[in-house]
Amino acid sequence: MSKLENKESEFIKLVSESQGIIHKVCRLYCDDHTHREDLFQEIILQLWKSYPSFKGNSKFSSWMYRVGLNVAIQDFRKEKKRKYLFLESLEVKEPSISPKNNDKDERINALYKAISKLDKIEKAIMMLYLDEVPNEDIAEIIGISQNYVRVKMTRIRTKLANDIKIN
Amino acid sequence: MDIIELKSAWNLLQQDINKDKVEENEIMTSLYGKSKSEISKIKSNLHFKFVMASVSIIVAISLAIATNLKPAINPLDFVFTTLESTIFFIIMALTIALVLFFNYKAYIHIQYIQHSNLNLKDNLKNFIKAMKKAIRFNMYSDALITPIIFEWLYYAYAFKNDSLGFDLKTALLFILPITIGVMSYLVQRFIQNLKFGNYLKRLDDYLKSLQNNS
Repeated sequence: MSKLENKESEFIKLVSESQGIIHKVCRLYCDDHTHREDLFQEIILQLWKSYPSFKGNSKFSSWMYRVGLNVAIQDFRKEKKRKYLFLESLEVKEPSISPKNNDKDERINALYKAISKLDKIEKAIMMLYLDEVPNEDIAEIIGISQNYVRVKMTRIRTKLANDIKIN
Repeated sequence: MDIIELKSAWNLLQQDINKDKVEENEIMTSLYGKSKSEISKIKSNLHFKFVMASVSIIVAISLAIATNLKPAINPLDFVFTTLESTIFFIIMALTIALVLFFNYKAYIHIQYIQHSNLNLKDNLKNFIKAMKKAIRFNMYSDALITPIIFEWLYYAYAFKNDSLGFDLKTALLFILPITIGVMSYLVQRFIQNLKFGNYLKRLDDYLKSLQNNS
């Protein structure tokens, strides 16, 4: 096996194990299935391109978050004027028969609705927070101080709370 | 929806995401796919210009040398003398070389962005810089090449049977490239602003929000 093939299989294995991170980014930043697929491919491509610069100084997952969020934030696609994200994907799913599934869909839907009120940077911070990434790592991924992460989180909470009051 | 509810909904989403998981061979296919990102499109465009400009320089220099060595093969002899053709080819080669330099600078910056491993704030800062640089260099290239081509067309038409003098016709030889250059720059700026203006403004706002008290 050549050096490139070795590197390739090592990369694929690592990405495959942590691919949930990419899917979460795609779910949060895309408003339809095609866009989600495009962004997934774009993130994989970007991860592969910048893989040689990953020296293992940070966790592989932190690096994946960083690259994935960078790609999602720089994504040029014009945002559709939709009330909230991902209804389309929920619509194409098989209809939920059980009340349990219905409740699950409703709650995920409410999550999308709440997060769609945030801008791309706030979404990134929120996603990392919900994924229980430590504050120190959030600060490193975003490139701001830990203190500012806390400030940002307070603002996001206020924004979400105000939105609930308005509605 | 408060933060606790959000967290519990997030956990449900994590379960849902398991359905999205793809096989390793699908990931492998993605590694060598074509990027659809705007920066990649700009990069491909720069790459194309790079090749075209390099070929054009070689052609222009070859023609300048060939015309000088063997005036009979001057391809522009129906409008220009041997000396005029030589000057034309040299000016074209120099202008294209300048454009090539602009393109190269923009290309290198984009290349760096695509292979870097920076945090969100620094990456955003570099990305905006690279986008602005590529757009600016594109405008400069147009503002350089278009007036030169127009000037020589005008020269070929207006001075076919005439020589330079102190008259309006000669003055136009100087006024025309400046006017066309400025117009070309403004038109390009308008187009680029229409295409990327809002996008870059939004990215600038994101960056500012990260720079405040960071």
